[in-house]
Amino acid sequence: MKHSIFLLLCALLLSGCIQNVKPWQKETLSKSHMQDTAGRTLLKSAKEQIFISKEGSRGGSGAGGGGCGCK
Amino acid sequence: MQIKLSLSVATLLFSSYLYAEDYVTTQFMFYDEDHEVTNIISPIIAPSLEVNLDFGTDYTFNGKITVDAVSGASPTFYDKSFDTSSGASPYRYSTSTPSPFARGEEVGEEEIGYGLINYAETRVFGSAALTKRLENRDEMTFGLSYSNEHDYHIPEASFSYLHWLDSGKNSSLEGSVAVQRADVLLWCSGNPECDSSSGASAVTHQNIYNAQLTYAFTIDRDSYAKLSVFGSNENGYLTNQYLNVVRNKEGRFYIENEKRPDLRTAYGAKIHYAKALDRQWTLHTNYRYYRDDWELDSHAIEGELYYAYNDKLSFEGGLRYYTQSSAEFYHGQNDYFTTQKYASTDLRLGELSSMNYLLGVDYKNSTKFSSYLILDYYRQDKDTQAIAVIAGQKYSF
Repeated sequence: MKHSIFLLLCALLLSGCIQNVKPWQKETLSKSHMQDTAGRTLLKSAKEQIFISKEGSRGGSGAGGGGCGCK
Repeated sequence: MQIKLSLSVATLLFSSYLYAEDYVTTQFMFYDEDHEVTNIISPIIAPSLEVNLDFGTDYTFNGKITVDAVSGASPTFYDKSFDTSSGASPYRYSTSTPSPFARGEEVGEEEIGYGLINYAETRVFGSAALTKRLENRDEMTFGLSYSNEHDYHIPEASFSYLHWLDSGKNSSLEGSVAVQRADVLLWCSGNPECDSSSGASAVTHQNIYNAQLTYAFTIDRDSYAKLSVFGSNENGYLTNQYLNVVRNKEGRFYIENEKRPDLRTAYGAKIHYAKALDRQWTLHTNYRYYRDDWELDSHAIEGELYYAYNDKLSFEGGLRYYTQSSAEFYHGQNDYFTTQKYASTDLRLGELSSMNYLLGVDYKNSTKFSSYLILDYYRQDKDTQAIAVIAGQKYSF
């Protein structure tokens, strides 16, 4: 719980740094490399599947995601 | 085209589904795993297909199908007196092939073996998601998925809502929920969860509820951050039906199915920060904290660096460090249980740490075609290592 509160505080501090970026100033933000795993969702799923099958925890990548028997 | 461009600028940041383009992606993964205790290698090839289609500016459909088997083979206890010289597994999962030994029967201490379950499993996973954009450009996404293994059948329904917090679309709040109800096929021989004593199979269930809330915001024209809090509740049959433990009952040894609590509640938080360092270099960092009521908590920290050599060719490198504590009912494989209610020697529930290394190259063959090749190496301090080679090609239209 302490970690979650710490992260929330970090977010609040960071949110104080938000600039009002105009749409025409978002060229860099819209590049594919700015997306998580460069927007390659299949690659992201494959990596997560490897971690889920080897480790005891999961989460943080969205509520959905399908099942895994993970014997 | 103009509409699509503005959509991509406005929405690309925060939605995992929305790329405001029509595309098809194919991906092949070759996965190989090695465990130093048993030295068994199990190469796996996993093909995937993804389709993303826009219908006007208000609807986007995304569908995926994957055939994989990255479940790994967890080592467990078995009766060595079973003759494995034929190359057969010391433990069979097939409902048509009874197990070579019955759980719960006394076994000599010298006959207790520890090794991987030898299996050839495939998982077929398919998902479909439809996103609807409202007049204020908030987004609702409805999703369905189905994962099928011979012994797990897991349908899932999910819903997410993304709300823009400002007219400039520099910050958003997204809530998502998902519900799974898994059918789990049990191998019943010696399993007290089943009524049958014949070794026939029975079906039991798991219910899994996931929720996540994500706050995303641009920091400046070159960086943004996301903060997520998430929680999950799993209930039902959470025991791994394939894993065994050894119980020492006053000097007499028994191999039995492991036993886990029927309820697991977890929560955690994740922060993601991305920054374009200059026109060529881009940095992504992630930190995730997780804790559950099995007393397992974990930390994962990850960094990825992208380098755009030119408009066509780019490279990437990534590192991930993970560490977790042990679940309260976990014992190592050298420490037998006695009469504890809950018992597991699943390495994934023990204290462990791991490193993951990633190298990749991405090449845009043309304005419509792009290809990527990823080399991923995973090393765990529990003598497990794995390598994955992932090749993908994307066609945009």
